[in-house]
Amino acid sequence: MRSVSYVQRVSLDFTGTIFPHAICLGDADNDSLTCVGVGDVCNKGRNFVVAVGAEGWFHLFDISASAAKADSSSQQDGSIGDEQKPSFTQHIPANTKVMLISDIDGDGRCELVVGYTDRVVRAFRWEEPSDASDLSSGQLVLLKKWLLEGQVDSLSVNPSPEGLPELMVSQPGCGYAILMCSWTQEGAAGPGDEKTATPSREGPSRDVVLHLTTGRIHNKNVSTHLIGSIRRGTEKACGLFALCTLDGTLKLMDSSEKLLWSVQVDHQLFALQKLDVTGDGREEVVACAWDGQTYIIDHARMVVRFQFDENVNAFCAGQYACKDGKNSPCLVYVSFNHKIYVYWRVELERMEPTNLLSVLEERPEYPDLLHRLGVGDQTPATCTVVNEKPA
Amino acid sequence: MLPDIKSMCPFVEDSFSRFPSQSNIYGLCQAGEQEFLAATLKGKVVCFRYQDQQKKIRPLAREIQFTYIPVDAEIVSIDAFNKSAPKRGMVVGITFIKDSGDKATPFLNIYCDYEPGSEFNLESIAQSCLNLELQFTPFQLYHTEVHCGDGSSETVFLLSGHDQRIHLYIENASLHQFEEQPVERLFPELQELPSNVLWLNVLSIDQNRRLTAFGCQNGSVGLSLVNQKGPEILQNWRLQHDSPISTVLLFPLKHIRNHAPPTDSSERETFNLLVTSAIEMAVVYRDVEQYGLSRQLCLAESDQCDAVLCALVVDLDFDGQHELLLGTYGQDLLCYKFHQPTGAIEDKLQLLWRRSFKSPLLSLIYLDLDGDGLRELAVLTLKGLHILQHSLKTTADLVLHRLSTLVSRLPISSKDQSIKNQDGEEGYISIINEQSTAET
Repeated sequence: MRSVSYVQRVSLDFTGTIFPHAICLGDADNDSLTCVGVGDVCNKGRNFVVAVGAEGWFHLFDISASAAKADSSSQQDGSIGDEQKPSFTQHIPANTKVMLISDIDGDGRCELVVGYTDRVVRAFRWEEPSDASDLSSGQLVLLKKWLLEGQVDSLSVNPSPEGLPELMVSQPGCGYAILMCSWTQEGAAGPGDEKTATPSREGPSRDVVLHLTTGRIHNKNVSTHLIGSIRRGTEKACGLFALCTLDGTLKLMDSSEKLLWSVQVDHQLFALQKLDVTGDGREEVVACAWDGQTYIIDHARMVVRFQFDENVNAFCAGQYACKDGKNSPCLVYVSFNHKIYVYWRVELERMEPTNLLSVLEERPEYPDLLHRLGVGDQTPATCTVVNEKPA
Repeated sequence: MLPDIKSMCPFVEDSFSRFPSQSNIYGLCQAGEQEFLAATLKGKVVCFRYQDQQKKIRPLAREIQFTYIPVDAEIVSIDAFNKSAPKRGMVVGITFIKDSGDKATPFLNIYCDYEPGSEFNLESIAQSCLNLELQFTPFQLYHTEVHCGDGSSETVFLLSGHDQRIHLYIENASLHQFEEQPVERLFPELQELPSNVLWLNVLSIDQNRRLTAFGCQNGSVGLSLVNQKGPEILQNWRLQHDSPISTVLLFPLKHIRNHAPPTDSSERETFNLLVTSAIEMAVVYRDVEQYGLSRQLCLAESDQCDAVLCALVVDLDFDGQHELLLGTYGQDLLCYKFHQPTGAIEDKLQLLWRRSFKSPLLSLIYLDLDGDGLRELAVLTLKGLHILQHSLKTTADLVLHRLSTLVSRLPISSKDQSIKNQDGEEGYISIINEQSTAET
């Protein structure tokens, strides 16, 4: 497989330690230039930064509002980089581990899904009175709680074969579970009815659909990560999802459970992301191992490797703007010595090595031009003659 | 603070191979049409090429076991050449230092296979070795073609040593092996050397002459114009720089006079010498045949990236004029272009682009690895080997553009004219040349 060496990077310093899931890329200040952020949890049409602590404190940051305020009050630019005050804080159940902001039930509005270290997954929705002017009058309301059999390492949303979004959760042993959003089926189920005995007892068996992706499981407890909604271009709406395990298994499947490919590597993969590095509209799977070895794999199982030189604490991939004022695919590594490295030129022209003749043969005008110049029935030798550049 | 670079590097990295141990500036050489050899310190020699498997191309690096290189040897330099016609075969030379207790012994191994059928096969060449013990520490192993007295050509090894001499190794046809011979017999210009030669470069020019250039550890640069018949030294120049010379490179440049129609007589080919050193800026000595080492042209900012370790002169943007590539210890690859402003007599060199790497650059080679007619740039760095390919999208666009320009120039009657392979090639390329200069 092919290895590349990325050079252009920016390093940022930070203090403290970062938890593996505590980094992500998104358009936080809604200026269409991305910086670290999360999603439109309040369904206001713009993104907010959400931070959830292990004790259960949910903080909401509205960066675009504070940016606008800073401009108008003629403060220095440095104030945006200073301590951000949360616009809203609420206490939700503690021991949070992973988080997802997305529309999981197909109603067009985003929900907040939180995974906990005690194998519980809870879904919340932001509710506020319709005449609310700011964020302080709203709150997060619990929609549903699911109890799973294994540790939840990843949450993701993937479109089902019918096109509706499905909430998927990774399970140890390279498995995954689809969590049903029962509040849409029941219709009248209120947000506070988790204490009702009957639904919660039936919850695990009816609302959690467990899938095991391999019949021969080497290690049933190996931690597994999942990422869904991997775009496969503009042809199908059906998305792909990928799984990776700590013992080096990587799989790409579609929502009808068809396995597209499976790769076994000898590194411990702990982070899974998706990123379009070739610019063709199809997203590639990016998996990172603890020792910095990064795999970029496309839908046709072409692998490109990149070795990051240090051990990686957290990893993220997405669109970020470092230079030129526009987004470009980036890889973000957080090392164990208080540095964040953003690699901002990770685009590849193509995934597999090729040569000029193959590229030319794909162009429709090439055979016609050669024919008109009298070079017909190209033997490879003639092609080389024609293509030879003046030395 | 460096000014804005106008152009982007036209290369895209195709692959990177990590080496288990580091190499040095003498550790890369071309071996064959589409492959090259890289030697690392701990005695491993890797052959790098692209393999064509079912219409897919894969970079392939395989280790070649060269015999008679001990386990604890450290390889200093490597070189390979194809023997001059009518002889056939590839010859590989490897110098290494064997650490035997308290004494370090240098050796030169020359590998050559005389079996018909396997003269170009690297695996069998690696088995037949001639082991020569050296009395000096070797530096660069170089090869060049020289015209012998009886009209034939011979390719020989030239090895520079720390004894301030250059040693000549030539094949003894009757004995079927290589042996050392006095260098003054074929290279009288390399007799009196001021210091250890770090880099040697020889260029054959017309009328059976050659230009020989060398750069020394004490900073002196020597240039000689020699008539191969004799051989007889026609002219000798010496110059002293202030720091050790890392490379010297002789290259031709075509000068097109702007106000004359593009016929052959107005195109003058001049020979120039690029000299790079450890501390100073790199310089080009223009038209050495006429002016010797007196017309100096500096490459601005080439001293800003630590020492320049390697250089290459190739045409990267396919406009018919050479660009200069410098690889530096400061992990940057710099590209310079000649600028001939209209009306002005002097031309100048301008930095076109720079590309950063993760580790210091040691050596550069430009050769066609994947067999498509477009050459790739192999960059040997301290950590490993990078293969850089021209951006295939832009190059394919350029080829189609030039083909369609050619088609538009075709007279209607000669559309069915077929282009002959051999003779038509130069005519074809000269059409591209002429058309590209008309475009600029």
